[in-house]
Amino acid sequence: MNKIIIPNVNNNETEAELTSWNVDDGDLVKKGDIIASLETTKADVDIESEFEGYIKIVSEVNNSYEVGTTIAYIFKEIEKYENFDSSANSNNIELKKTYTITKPAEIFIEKNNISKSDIEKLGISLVKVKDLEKLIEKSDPSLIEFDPIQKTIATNVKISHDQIPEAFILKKINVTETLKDIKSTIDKEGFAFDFTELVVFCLGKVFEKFPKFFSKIENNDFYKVSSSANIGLTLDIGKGLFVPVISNSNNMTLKSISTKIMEFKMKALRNNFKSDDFSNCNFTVSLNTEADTIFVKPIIFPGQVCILSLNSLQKEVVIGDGKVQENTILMLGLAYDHRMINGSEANSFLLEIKSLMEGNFNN
Amino acid sequence: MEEKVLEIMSKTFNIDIFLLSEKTSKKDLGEWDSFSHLNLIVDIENEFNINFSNEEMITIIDFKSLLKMIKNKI
Repeated sequence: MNKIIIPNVNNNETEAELTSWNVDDGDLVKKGDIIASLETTKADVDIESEFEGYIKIVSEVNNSYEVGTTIAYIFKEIEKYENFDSSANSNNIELKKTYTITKPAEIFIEKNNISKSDIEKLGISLVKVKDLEKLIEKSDPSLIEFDPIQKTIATNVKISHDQIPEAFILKKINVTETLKDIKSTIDKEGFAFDFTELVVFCLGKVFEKFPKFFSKIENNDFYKVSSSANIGLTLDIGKGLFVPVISNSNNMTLKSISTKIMEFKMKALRNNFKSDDFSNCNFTVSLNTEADTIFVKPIIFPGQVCILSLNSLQKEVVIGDGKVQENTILMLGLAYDHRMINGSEANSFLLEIKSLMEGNFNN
Repeated sequence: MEEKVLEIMSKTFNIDIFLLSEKTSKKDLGEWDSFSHLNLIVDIENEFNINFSNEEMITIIDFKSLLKMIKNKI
Protein backbone atom coordinates (compact mmCIF):
# COMPACT_ATOMS: atom_id res chain seq x y z
CA MET A 1 0.00 0.00 0.00
CA ASN A 2 1.40 3.39 -0.98
CA LYS A 3 0.22 6.78 0.20
CA ILE A 4 -0.61 9.85 -1.88
CA ILE A 5 0.06 12.89 0.27
CA ILE A 6 -0.32 16.65 -0.05
CA PRO A 7 3.14 17.77 -1.27
CA ASN A 8 5.11 20.75 -0.04
CA VAL A 9 4.58 22.98 -3.06
CA ASN A 10 6.17 26.10 -1.71
CA ASN A 11 8.09 26.83 1.47
CA ASN A 12 5.58 29.57 2.27
CA GLU A 13 2.50 27.34 2.11
CA THR A 14 1.25 25.05 4.85
CA GLU A 15 -1.83 23.68 3.14
CA ALA A 16 -3.48 23.24 -0.25
CA GLU A 17 -7.02 22.88 -1.53
CA LEU A 18 -7.91 19.69 -3.35
CA THR A 19 -9.68 21.02 -6.44
CA SER A 20 -10.35 17.82 -8.40
CA TRP A 21 -9.76 14.12 -8.75
CA ASN A 22 -8.97 13.03 -12.29
CA VAL A 23 -9.63 9.40 -11.39
CA ASP A 24 -12.46 7.60 -9.64
CA ASP A 25 -12.16 5.53 -6.50
CA GLY A 26 -11.06 2.02 -7.51
CA ASP A 27 -9.51 3.04 -10.83
CA LEU A 28 -6.29 1.37 -11.91
CA VAL A 29 -3.72 4.18 -12.11
CA LYS A 30 -0.30 4.06 -13.69
CA LYS A 31 2.95 5.63 -12.59
CA GLY A 32 3.07 9.18 -13.98
CA ASP A 33 -0.71 9.56 -14.33
CA ILE A 34 -2.06 12.94 -13.26
CA ILE A 35 -4.51 11.83 -10.61
CA ALA A 36 -5.52 15.02 -8.82
CA SER A 37 -5.19 18.79 -8.85
CA LEU A 38 -4.47 21.14 -5.98
CA GLU A 39 -4.55 24.86 -5.59
CA THR A 40 -2.44 26.96 -3.24
CA THR A 41 -2.36 30.71 -3.02
CA LYS A 42 0.70 30.66 -5.29
CA ALA A 43 0.24 27.87 -7.78
CA ASP A 44 -1.98 25.27 -9.37
CA VAL A 45 -0.43 21.87 -8.87
CA ASP A 46 -1.05 18.55 -10.57
CA ILE A 47 -0.36 15.45 -8.52
CA GLU A 48 1.31 12.63 -10.40
CA SER A 49 1.06 9.09 -9.20
CA GLU A 50 4.43 7.65 -8.27
CA PHE A 51 2.90 4.17 -8.13
CA GLU A 52 0.82 1.77 -10.16
CA GLY A 53 -2.26 0.17 -8.67
CA TYR A 54 -5.86 0.59 -7.53
CA ILE A 55 -6.63 3.90 -5.90
CA LYS A 56 -8.59 4.36 -2.68
CA ILE A 57 -9.60 7.99 -2.25
CA VAL A 58 -9.86 9.17 1.38
CA SER A 59 -10.31 12.92 0.87
CA GLU A 60 -12.88 15.29 -0.54
CA VAL A 61 -12.71 17.84 -3.32
CA ASN A 62 -12.96 21.51 -2.25
CA ASN A 63 -11.42 20.75 1.15
CA SER A 64 -8.08 22.17 2.27
CA TYR A 65 -5.49 19.78 3.65
CA GLU A 66 -2.25 20.40 5.45
CA VAL A 67 1.03 19.40 3.79
CA GLY A 68 1.73 15.73 4.51
CA THR A 69 -1.90 14.69 4.85
CA THR A 70 -2.75 11.41 3.11
CA ILE A 71 -5.45 11.94 0.51
CA ALA A 72 -5.43 8.50 -1.13
CA TYR A 73 -3.84 5.06 -1.06
CA ILE A 74 -2.69 2.90 -3.95
CA PHE A 75 -2.80 -0.89 -3.79
CA LYS A 76 -1.01 -3.27 -6.12
CA GLU A 77 -3.67 -5.94 -5.73
CA ILE A 78 -7.40 -5.38 -6.19
CA GLU A 79 -8.15 -7.65 -3.21
CA LYS A 80 -6.21 -5.38 -0.86
CA TYR A 81 -8.06 -2.38 -2.24
CA GLU A 82 -11.40 -4.08 -1.65
CA ASN A 83 -10.53 -5.11 1.91
CA PHE A 84 -9.13 -1.74 2.86
CA ASP A 85 -10.52 -0.11 6.00
CA SER A 86 -9.71 3.61 5.71
CA SER A 87 -10.49 4.41 9.33
CA ALA A 88 -7.97 1.83 10.54
CA ASN A 89 -5.21 2.79 8.14
CA SER A 90 -5.45 6.56 7.92
CA ASN A 91 -2.45 8.56 9.09
CA ASN A 92 -4.97 10.99 10.53
CA ILE A 93 -5.92 10.01 14.04
CA GLU A 94 -9.61 9.35 14.35
CA LEU A 95 -11.08 10.22 17.70
CA LYS A 96 -14.67 9.93 16.75
CA LYS A 97 -16.32 8.64 13.63
CA THR A 98 -17.68 12.08 12.80
CA TYR A 99 -14.30 13.78 12.44
CA THR A 100 -10.57 13.19 12.00
CA ILE A 101 -7.59 15.17 13.29
CA THR A 102 -4.43 15.88 11.33
CA LYS A 103 -1.03 15.18 12.87
CA PRO A 104 -0.13 18.86 13.42
CA ALA A 105 -3.59 19.42 14.93
CA GLU A 106 -3.05 16.51 17.29
CA ILE A 107 0.16 18.13 18.58
CA PHE A 108 -1.65 21.45 18.93
CA ILE A 109 -4.42 19.78 20.98
CA GLU A 110 -1.90 18.25 23.37
CA LYS A 111 0.04 21.49 23.72
CA ASN A 112 -3.04 23.57 24.43
CA ASN A 113 -5.05 21.03 26.45
CA ILE A 114 -8.09 21.24 24.20
CA SER A 115 -10.94 18.97 25.25
CA LYS A 116 -12.80 16.50 23.01
CA SER A 117 -16.07 18.27 23.66
CA ASP A 118 -14.59 21.57 22.44
CA ILE A 119 -13.41 19.84 19.26
CA GLU A 120 -16.83 18.32 18.68
CA LYS A 121 -18.38 21.75 19.01
CA LEU A 122 -16.52 22.82 15.89
CA GLY A 123 -18.84 20.54 13.90
CA ILE A 124 -16.33 19.82 11.13
CA SER A 125 -15.16 16.53 9.61
CA LEU A 126 -11.45 17.34 9.33
CA VAL A 127 -9.87 19.20 12.23
CA LYS A 128 -6.83 21.31 11.37
CA VAL A 129 -4.62 23.63 13.40
CA LYS A 130 -6.34 26.63 11.85
CA ASP A 131 -9.70 25.42 13.19
CA LEU A 132 -8.32 24.75 16.66
CA GLU A 133 -6.77 28.18 16.93
CA LYS A 134 -10.29 29.58 17.05
CA LEU A 135 -10.83 27.70 20.31
CA ILE A 136 -7.94 29.36 22.08
CA GLU A 137 -9.25 32.45 23.77
CA LYS A 138 -7.03 35.46 23.64
CA SER A 139 -6.18 36.88 27.00
CA ASP A 140 -5.94 40.31 25.41
CA PRO A 141 -8.38 40.98 22.54
CA SER A 142 -6.07 43.63 21.09
CA LEU A 143 -3.41 40.98 20.37
CA ILE A 144 -2.99 40.19 16.68
CA GLU A 145 -1.67 36.80 15.75
CA PHE A 146 1.18 36.37 13.26
CA ASP A 147 0.15 35.56 9.71
CA PRO A 148 0.46 31.75 9.09
CA ILE A 149 2.51 32.29 5.93
CA GLN A 150 4.91 34.54 7.84
CA LYS A 151 5.14 31.86 10.53
CA THR A 152 6.16 29.31 7.89
CA ILE A 153 8.77 31.70 6.51
CA ALA A 154 10.03 32.29 10.06
CA THR A 155 10.30 28.54 10.60
CA ASN A 156 12.51 28.24 7.52
CA VAL A 157 14.63 31.19 8.67
CA LYS A 158 15.07 29.47 12.03
CA ILE A 159 15.97 26.14 10.40
CA SER A 160 18.50 27.95 8.24
CA HIS A 161 20.06 29.70 11.24
CA ASP A 162 20.03 26.51 13.34
CA GLN A 163 21.40 24.10 10.74
CA ILE A 164 23.58 26.09 8.39
CA PRO A 165 26.93 27.54 9.52
CA GLU A 166 26.70 30.50 7.24
CA ALA A 167 29.44 32.86 6.13
CA PHE A 168 29.15 35.88 3.87
CA ILE A 169 31.35 37.71 1.39
CA LEU A 170 30.58 40.96 -0.41
CA LYS A 171 32.27 42.10 -3.62
CA LYS A 172 32.20 45.49 -5.24
CA ILE A 173 31.83 45.32 -9.01
CA ASN A 174 32.48 48.23 -11.28
CA VAL A 175 29.77 47.94 -13.93
CA THR A 176 30.34 51.30 -15.65
CA GLU A 177 31.49 49.58 -18.84
CA THR A 178 29.05 46.71 -18.39
CA LEU A 179 26.15 49.16 -18.63
CA LYS A 180 27.49 50.31 -22.00
CA ASP A 181 27.88 46.67 -23.10
CA ILE A 182 24.30 45.92 -22.04
CA LYS A 183 22.98 48.87 -24.06
CA SER A 184 24.96 47.96 -27.15
CA THR A 185 23.90 44.30 -26.88
CA ILE A 186 20.24 45.34 -26.60
CA ASP A 187 20.64 47.44 -29.76
CA LYS A 188 22.57 44.75 -31.61
CA GLU A 189 20.59 41.67 -30.57
CA GLY A 190 17.16 43.31 -30.21
CA PHE A 191 16.09 41.97 -26.85
CA ALA A 192 15.89 43.57 -23.41
CA PHE A 193 17.70 42.41 -20.30
CA ASP A 194 19.39 43.86 -17.24
CA PHE A 195 21.60 42.72 -14.38
CA THR A 196 19.18 40.05 -13.16
CA GLU A 197 19.34 38.19 -16.46
CA LEU A 198 23.08 38.85 -16.71
CA VAL A 199 23.84 37.42 -13.27
CA VAL A 200 21.87 34.24 -14.02
CA PHE A 201 23.76 33.95 -17.31
CA CYS A 202 27.12 34.40 -15.56
CA LEU A 203 26.20 31.83 -12.92
CA GLY A 204 25.49 29.36 -15.69
CA LYS A 205 28.91 30.10 -17.16
CA VAL A 206 30.77 29.39 -13.91
CA PHE A 207 28.80 26.22 -13.13
CA GLU A 208 31.35 23.81 -14.64
CA LYS A 209 34.23 25.36 -12.72
CA PHE A 210 32.35 25.53 -9.39
CA PRO A 211 29.83 22.65 -9.38
CA LYS A 212 30.01 22.30 -5.58
CA PHE A 213 28.27 25.64 -5.19
CA PHE A 214 25.21 24.16 -6.93
CA SER A 215 24.90 21.08 -4.72
CA LYS A 216 21.92 19.85 -2.75
CA ILE A 217 22.36 19.11 0.97
CA GLU A 218 20.80 15.83 2.03
CA ASN A 219 20.00 14.67 5.58
CA ASN A 220 22.02 17.61 6.86
CA ASP A 221 25.31 15.64 6.65
CA PHE A 222 25.70 14.84 2.95
CA TYR A 223 25.68 16.70 -0.30
CA LYS A 224 25.08 15.74 -3.89
CA VAL A 225 26.60 17.68 -6.78
CA SER A 226 23.95 18.57 -9.35
CA SER A 227 24.29 18.02 -13.07
CA SER A 228 22.96 21.46 -13.95
CA ALA A 229 22.64 24.98 -12.56
CA ASN A 230 19.01 25.45 -11.57
CA ILE A 231 18.78 29.04 -10.44
CA GLY A 232 15.92 30.27 -8.24
CA LEU A 233 15.04 33.96 -8.33
CA THR A 234 13.30 35.76 -5.47
CA LEU A 235 10.59 37.60 -7.38
CA ASP A 236 8.32 40.02 -5.59
CA ILE A 237 6.39 42.38 -7.81
CA GLY A 238 3.79 43.26 -5.22
CA LYS A 239 1.86 39.96 -5.39
CA GLY A 240 3.85 38.03 -2.80
CA LEU A 241 7.26 36.40 -2.84
CA PHE A 242 7.86 33.68 -5.43
CA VAL A 243 11.06 31.73 -6.10
CA PRO A 244 10.69 30.29 -9.61
CA VAL A 245 13.60 28.30 -11.02
CA ILE A 246 15.50 28.71 -14.28
CA SER A 247 16.50 25.10 -14.85
CA ASN A 248 19.62 24.14 -16.75
CA SER A 249 20.78 27.76 -16.99
CA ASN A 250 24.33 26.54 -17.73
CA ASN A 251 23.10 25.49 -21.18
CA MET A 252 21.02 28.57 -21.91
CA THR A 253 21.77 31.68 -23.93
CA LEU A 254 21.33 35.15 -22.49
CA LYS A 255 18.26 35.56 -24.70
CA SER A 256 16.62 32.33 -23.58
CA ILE A 257 17.30 33.23 -19.94
CA SER A 258 15.74 36.66 -20.53
CA THR A 259 12.68 35.04 -22.11
CA LYS A 260 12.32 32.64 -19.18
CA ILE A 261 12.60 35.41 -16.61
CA MET A 262 10.02 37.44 -18.53
CA GLU A 263 7.71 34.40 -18.43
CA PHE A 264 8.15 34.18 -14.66
CA LYS A 265 7.53 37.88 -14.14
CA MET A 266 4.26 37.63 -16.07
CA LYS A 267 3.29 34.53 -14.09
CA ALA A 268 3.99 36.41 -10.85
CA LEU A 269 1.85 39.28 -12.10
CA ARG A 270 -0.98 36.98 -13.19
CA ASN A 271 -0.57 34.52 -10.32
CA ASN A 272 -0.54 31.45 -12.58
CA PHE A 273 2.61 29.58 -11.62
CA LYS A 274 2.72 25.79 -11.87
CA SER A 275 4.48 23.59 -9.31
CA ASP A 276 7.18 22.69 -11.87
CA ASP A 277 8.22 26.35 -11.94
CA PHE A 278 9.49 26.01 -8.36
CA SER A 279 11.17 22.60 -8.51
CA ASN A 280 14.79 21.42 -8.34
CA CYS A 281 16.37 24.71 -7.28
CA ASN A 282 20.03 24.29 -6.32
CA PHE A 283 21.15 27.92 -6.14
CA THR A 284 19.15 31.05 -5.35
CA VAL A 285 19.63 34.65 -6.40
CA SER A 286 18.13 37.09 -3.94
CA LEU A 287 17.02 40.20 -5.84
CA ASN A 288 17.40 43.33 -3.73
CA THR A 289 17.54 45.86 -6.51
CA GLU A 290 15.22 48.47 -5.03
CA ALA A 291 16.80 51.93 -5.30
CA ASP A 292 19.33 52.77 -2.58
CA THR A 293 19.54 49.24 -1.19
CA ILE A 294 23.28 48.92 -0.69
CA PHE A 295 23.22 45.27 0.20
CA VAL A 296 21.08 42.59 1.82
CA LYS A 297 22.50 39.52 3.52
CA PRO A 298 19.99 36.76 2.73
CA ILE A 299 19.51 33.44 4.49
CA ILE A 300 20.49 30.23 2.72
CA PHE A 301 17.42 28.15 1.91
CA PRO A 302 17.65 24.78 3.71
CA GLY A 303 18.89 22.15 1.26
CA GLN A 304 21.02 24.57 -0.73
CA VAL A 305 24.63 25.64 -0.34
CA CYS A 306 24.60 29.27 -1.45
CA ILE A 307 22.53 32.30 -2.10
CA LEU A 308 23.73 35.26 -4.13
CA SER A 309 22.52 38.72 -3.22
CA LEU A 310 22.10 41.10 -6.17
CA ASN A 311 21.74 44.67 -4.99
CA SER A 312 20.94 48.05 -6.52
CA LEU A 313 23.33 50.11 -8.61
CA GLN A 314 25.25 52.84 -6.79
CA LYS A 315 27.21 55.79 -8.06
CA GLU A 316 30.78 56.30 -6.87
CA VAL A 317 33.10 59.20 -7.54
CA VAL A 318 36.77 58.23 -7.85
CA ILE A 319 40.00 59.88 -8.85
CA GLY A 320 41.81 58.03 -11.60
CA ASP A 321 44.57 59.16 -13.96
CA GLY A 322 44.55 62.53 -12.24
CA LYS A 323 40.91 63.25 -12.98
CA VAL A 324 37.61 62.81 -11.20
CA GLN A 325 35.27 60.26 -12.72
CA GLU A 326 31.93 58.69 -11.84
CA ASN A 327 31.60 54.92 -11.74
CA THR A 328 28.53 52.73 -11.44
CA ILE A 329 28.96 50.12 -8.74
CA LEU A 330 27.09 46.91 -8.04
CA MET A 331 27.43 45.03 -4.77
CA LEU A 332 27.30 41.24 -5.12
CA GLY A 333 27.10 39.22 -1.91
CA LEU A 334 27.42 35.49 -1.42
CA ALA A 335 26.12 33.70 1.67
CA TYR A 336 27.56 30.18 1.76
CA ASP A 337 27.53 27.03 3.87
CA HIS A 338 30.86 26.78 5.68
CA ARG A 339 30.59 22.99 5.90
CA MET A 340 31.30 22.85 2.18
CA ILE A 341 32.87 26.09 1.13
CA ASN A 342 35.73 28.09 2.56
CA GLY A 343 36.33 31.81 2.27
CA SER A 344 38.99 31.47 -0.41
CA GLU A 345 36.68 29.36 -2.59
CA ALA A 346 33.83 31.83 -2.13
CA ASN A 347 36.22 34.61 -3.05
CA SER A 348 37.32 32.76 -6.23
CA PHE A 349 33.70 32.13 -7.16
CA LEU A 350 32.74 35.81 -6.85
CA LEU A 351 35.92 36.89 -8.64
CA GLU A 352 34.91 34.72 -11.59
CA ILE A 353 31.45 36.35 -11.68
CA LYS A 354 33.04 39.78 -11.26
CA SER A 355 35.44 39.09 -14.11
CA LEU A 356 32.60 38.06 -16.42
CA MET A 357 30.48 41.06 -15.52
CA GLU A 358 33.27 43.64 -15.66
CA GLY A 359 34.74 42.18 -18.83
CA ASN A 360 32.90 41.28 -21.96
CA PHE A 361 30.17 38.90 -20.89
CA ASN A 362 29.46 38.07 -24.55
CA ASN A 363 32.75 36.19 -24.88
CA MET B 1 -2.30 54.74 -32.83
CA GLU B 2 1.10 56.33 -32.17
CA GLU B 3 -0.51 58.89 -29.88
CA LYS B 4 -2.48 56.25 -28.03
CA VAL B 5 0.68 54.21 -27.41
CA LEU B 6 2.54 57.29 -26.19
CA GLU B 7 -0.39 58.11 -23.94
CA ILE B 8 -0.29 54.63 -22.39
CA MET B 9 3.48 54.85 -21.95
CA SER B 10 3.11 58.22 -20.28
CA LYS B 11 0.50 56.88 -17.88
CA THR B 12 2.40 53.64 -17.17
CA PHE B 13 5.75 55.32 -16.60
CA ASN B 14 4.11 58.24 -14.80
CA ILE B 15 5.96 60.84 -16.85
CA ASP B 16 4.89 63.76 -19.01
CA ILE B 17 3.94 62.68 -22.51
CA PHE B 18 6.13 65.47 -23.93
CA LEU B 19 9.18 63.62 -22.61
CA LEU B 20 8.33 60.70 -24.91
CA SER B 21 8.77 60.39 -28.65
CA GLU B 22 9.20 57.81 -31.38
CA LYS B 23 12.87 57.72 -30.41
CA THR B 24 12.14 56.68 -26.82
CA SER B 25 13.92 53.47 -25.86
CA LYS B 26 14.03 51.30 -22.75
CA LYS B 27 17.78 51.64 -22.34
CA ASP B 28 17.68 55.44 -22.24
CA LEU B 29 14.57 55.99 -20.14
CA GLY B 30 15.09 55.43 -16.41
CA GLU B 31 11.34 55.10 -15.77
CA TRP B 32 11.18 52.16 -18.23
CA ASP B 33 12.56 49.58 -15.83
CA SER B 34 11.80 45.87 -15.71
CA PHE B 35 8.79 46.38 -13.44
CA SER B 36 7.18 49.17 -15.51
CA HIS B 37 7.92 47.06 -18.61
CA LEU B 38 5.50 44.44 -17.26
CA ASN B 39 2.85 47.07 -16.58
CA LEU B 40 3.32 48.54 -20.05
CA ILE B 41 2.80 45.13 -21.66
CA VAL B 42 -0.35 44.47 -19.64
CA ASP B 43 -1.75 47.96 -20.40
CA ILE B 44 -1.03 47.59 -24.13
CA GLU B 45 -2.54 44.10 -24.22
CA ASN B 46 -5.69 45.36 -22.52
CA GLU B 47 -6.01 48.47 -24.65
CA PHE B 48 -5.61 46.74 -28.02
CA ASN B 49 -7.04 43.37 -26.98
CA ILE B 50 -3.90 41.51 -28.09
CA ASN B 51 -1.45 39.11 -26.44
CA PHE B 52 2.32 39.03 -26.56
CA SER B 53 4.38 35.87 -26.18
CA ASN B 54 7.30 35.86 -23.73
CA GLU B 55 9.71 35.92 -26.67
CA GLU B 56 7.97 38.99 -28.06
CA MET B 57 7.91 40.74 -24.70
CA ILE B 58 11.71 40.81 -24.44
CA THR B 59 12.06 42.17 -27.98
CA ILE B 60 10.08 45.28 -27.06
CA ILE B 61 13.06 47.52 -26.53
CA ASP B 62 11.80 50.88 -27.73
CA PHE B 63 8.75 52.75 -28.98
CA LYS B 64 9.33 51.63 -32.57
CA SER B 65 9.54 47.91 -31.78
CA LEU B 66 6.44 48.20 -29.59
CA LEU B 67 4.45 49.96 -32.29
CA LYS B 68 5.53 47.49 -34.96
CA MET B 69 4.48 44.56 -32.82
CA ILE B 70 1.07 46.05 -32.08
CA LYS B 71 0.47 46.75 -35.79
CA ASN B 72 1.35 43.14 -36.64
CA LYS B 73 -1.27 41.89 -34.22
CA ILE B 74 -4.30 44.05 -34.96
